[in-house]
Amino acid sequence: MKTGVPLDASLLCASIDLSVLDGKPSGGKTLPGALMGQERALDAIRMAAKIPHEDFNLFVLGNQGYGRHTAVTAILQEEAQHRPVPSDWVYVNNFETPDKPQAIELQPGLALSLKQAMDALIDNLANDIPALFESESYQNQRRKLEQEFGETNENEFSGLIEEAKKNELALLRTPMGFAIAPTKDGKPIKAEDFETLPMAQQEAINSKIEAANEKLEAVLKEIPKHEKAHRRAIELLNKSMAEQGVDEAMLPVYGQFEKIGILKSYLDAVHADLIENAELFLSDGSAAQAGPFPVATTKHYKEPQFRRYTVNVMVSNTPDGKRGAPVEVEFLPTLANLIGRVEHLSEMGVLFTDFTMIKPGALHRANGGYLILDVRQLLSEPFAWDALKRCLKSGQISIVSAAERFSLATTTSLEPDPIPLNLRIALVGERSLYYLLMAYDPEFAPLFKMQADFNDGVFLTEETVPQYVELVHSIARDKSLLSPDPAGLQRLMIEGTRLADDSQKVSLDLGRLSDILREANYWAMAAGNKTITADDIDRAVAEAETRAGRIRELTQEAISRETLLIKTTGDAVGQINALSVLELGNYRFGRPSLVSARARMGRGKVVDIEREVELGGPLHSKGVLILSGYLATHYALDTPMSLWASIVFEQSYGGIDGDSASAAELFALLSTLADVPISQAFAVTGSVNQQGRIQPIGGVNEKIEGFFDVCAGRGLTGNQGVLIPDTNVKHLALRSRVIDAVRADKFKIIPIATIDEGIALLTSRKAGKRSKKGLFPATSVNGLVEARLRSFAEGLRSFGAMVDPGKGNGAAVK
Amino acid sequence: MSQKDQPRQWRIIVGATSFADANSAIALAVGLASELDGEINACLIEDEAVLAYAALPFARTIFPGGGKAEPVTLQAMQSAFRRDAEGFRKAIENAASLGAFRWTFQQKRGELRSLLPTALGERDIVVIGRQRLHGRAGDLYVLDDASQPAERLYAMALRTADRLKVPINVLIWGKDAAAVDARQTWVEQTWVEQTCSNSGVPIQSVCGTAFDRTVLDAIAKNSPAAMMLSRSVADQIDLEQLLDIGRCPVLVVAD
Repeated sequence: MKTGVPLDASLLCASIDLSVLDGKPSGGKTLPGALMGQERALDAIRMAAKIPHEDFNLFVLGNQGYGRHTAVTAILQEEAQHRPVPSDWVYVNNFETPDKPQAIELQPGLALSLKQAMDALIDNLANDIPALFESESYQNQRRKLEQEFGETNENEFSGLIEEAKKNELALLRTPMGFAIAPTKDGKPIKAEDFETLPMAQQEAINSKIEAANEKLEAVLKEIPKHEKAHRRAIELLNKSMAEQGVDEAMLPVYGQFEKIGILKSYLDAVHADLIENAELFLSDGSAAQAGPFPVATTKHYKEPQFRRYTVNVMVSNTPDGKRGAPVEVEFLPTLANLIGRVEHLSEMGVLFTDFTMIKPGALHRANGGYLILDVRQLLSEPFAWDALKRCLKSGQISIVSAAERFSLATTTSLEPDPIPLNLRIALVGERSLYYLLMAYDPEFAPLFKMQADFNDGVFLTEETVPQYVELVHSIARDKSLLSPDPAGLQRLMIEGTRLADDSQKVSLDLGRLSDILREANYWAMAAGNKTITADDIDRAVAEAETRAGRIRELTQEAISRETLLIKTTGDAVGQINALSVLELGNYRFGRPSLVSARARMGRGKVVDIEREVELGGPLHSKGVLILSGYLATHYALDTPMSLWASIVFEQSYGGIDGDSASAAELFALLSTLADVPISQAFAVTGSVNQQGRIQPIGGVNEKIEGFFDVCAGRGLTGNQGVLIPDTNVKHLALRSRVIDAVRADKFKIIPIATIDEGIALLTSRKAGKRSKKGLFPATSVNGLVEARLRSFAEGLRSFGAMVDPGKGNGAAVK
Repeated sequence: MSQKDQPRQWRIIVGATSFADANSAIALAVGLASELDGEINACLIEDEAVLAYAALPFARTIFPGGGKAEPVTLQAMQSAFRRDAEGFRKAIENAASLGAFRWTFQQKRGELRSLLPTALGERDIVVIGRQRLHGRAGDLYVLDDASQPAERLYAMALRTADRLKVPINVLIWGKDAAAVDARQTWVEQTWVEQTCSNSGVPIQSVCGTAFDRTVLDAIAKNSPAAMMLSRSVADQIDLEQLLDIGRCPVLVVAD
């Protein structure tokens, strides 16, 4: 490619060769679109899926819309099918310490069987135990005990009353307890009558009362003892009856699960507790709540008093041989959704919980398999990231709520057994988050040793073009869209190069590609097409730009109405059209800006006005310093740099950054130093290094189109054009309106490699090369610049004064 | 039906000579009031015999839970009655606030029998409280002298036994053997077969010729949950003695 001359229209966008295809979509096996061009990332995912070490968790990094989730899910699901079905996990009541529920690992499929068996056991007992206790045998034994006890108490008490009567005494009940009162004719003696009795009789009565009181004391003292013995006897009877029922009901459960070691001890604990608490089955609530169903069919296990015997299934896997290990995706990775939670119920204003209210989290469900999480969501959920790391480090899932972390939980809570954790985490997120975690979280790298970095684009080759075509077709099929015709495919791929900012590469932003295809499908359907054509793609792209282009239109309007002063014809000294890109959301556009430069004698300082007022970013300042370096090392090397210059983006009121205008700024400065006008028909983009080499910049397409639209709005003269770095030619993916204008010689896009090439094009004068004597030709631009700089140096020497830049206006004359 | 023709609301008269005794009857009375949509008239009787005893110089009381006999004065006993009355009133008030029924409370001096109004209406039930010696509850005893029609008594007994979840033990006696036989036949063939068959309440009946010591001993050994009798029976027997023997609440309904 030759620099310094306008590019041919054929070089302004990618040339897609679809001859590698047979012209028809394969319609066969779809190459997963998300996997195209991502071999490095896919290999990493496959390795992470297979490597057994627990700390080789995966971070899938790349931009949104590039198929990271699809790819990682597809690969992990494929790998999961070859892994064993993980164990079931249940929580059961810990009868000794109910606040520490017991976790039990079971073979796949057994958790539900155990739950069903326990529920059936409770249902059976709820029917059997009341029947046992209502049986004739039990009632007879009970009645006998009651009678024995009643007789013991009553006989003693009745004997006491009878004896008191014989002694003309009565047992009175008072609010202060029992009293033994003397009687006369069956009625208690009144105080005044008592006092009239002879002293001897009074003393005799007193003696009888004291004796009776002693007996009463003895009888009352025995009652609690009898009560206790009676209670014990009833308990033993009840226990023996309950044992009969529980033994029989638990036989099938033992038969089914006894061989599983850990369940044997649990079933023994259930057995003992059922006998100990058999009265739970004698409460009368069930019949009243049975509703229209007979009591025998009521689901008794759902009643609160029987919750202690139920089984809380945390994870249940079906060993059908097809599913393999689980692949879970948690879209809302809150702390609770991740590690599970302990729920509470409000009962009479008090929060209550038990082991049945332990709910599993994503870690439980994915245990033994894979868990995919979006890292941004994970990091934005309080305590979730911390909890995940804790679980991975400890190798077990411990349920700790946020309230407990803050010590805010003042109600009953649980401390469930931790469940061993063995899974592979796949985090999906942007690169910036990966690097931030690497930099600032020392626990991250040891836990996430695998990274799968997704490419943003892929080179167009004979191999990738058919893959990309198939990718487009697969999207069309997945979304039920019309199929794109060859021209449509070609146009779509060119748009793909535009998205990649590279005519040799195509973007792998599947999200954006899908958007364009679906919008094009809309327009194709509206037009009654049977396929998606190139025009439909063009329409979709144009409509999307129009929808997002209000600010761009306002900018163009301001330029056309000369509110923003941009010249596209004529010449001017010290000013040039530079190009910048504005990015608003996912839409960006280019616009020209007037850059001007002024110079005078000084102390070798180039003032970046943007920087002085803190509107310029560091990259822009760097560009200005580089061009200062170019000036200082390129001209009048034998004299002190005696220049004071200022450079500014005119009518720029917002921040500006980047060095893509540094070449334009240098051209403006050279123009003002040489006092040679620059053609305003050109706009320039490109950065410059200290050797005067033009370097590539970003957003070249938008910049060219931004200036083109301004020129087109005023009428193309054929002289207008844009100077771009020659190294940016491969990035060109211009819109057809620009290409058409170039093809018609109405607009030029000229690649340049050096500052001198640019000077010659902009000023229509030779830049000038140093002769063997080391001098530039006197009339060349470089010669004029050097002469000007020498004159500044001479001037300074003549005045013999130092420039004090702090005073603001260059040299101070003594 | 005019308002005048409508039967008046049920009235449950509940009383005792101490809060401990009254407390044993409150649940029964509240259950009846709720079931019958009636009102409760509560009364604490300051037993004159107790006050007379407390005035004696050697008066002593023993706490039912055991312990030594402690001296007591008339003033202390009067204070105890006031405390019990207040406790009784509050208990009724609390129960009424939950059950949403009307209630009254009074404290008066006299004998326990004075709880029985002169004219016991057909929509009146008197519940006389008496604390049991121990927690065990035996049967509900129905005391029937076969002298009057007793459908109301038996209907109320079935209802109460069903609520207390205890069996019914019917004691029928009387001088007129034919009347006793007729009553037993009615109980067994009509009441038990037709009325009680769906209730699930076990029922047994015993006939005798007199309400004598044997009957009282049988009641004492059973430690009844409650006893029910008609007004006519209540007027014949020594209520104090019956309460001492049964040591349980006594319910009296109109004949």
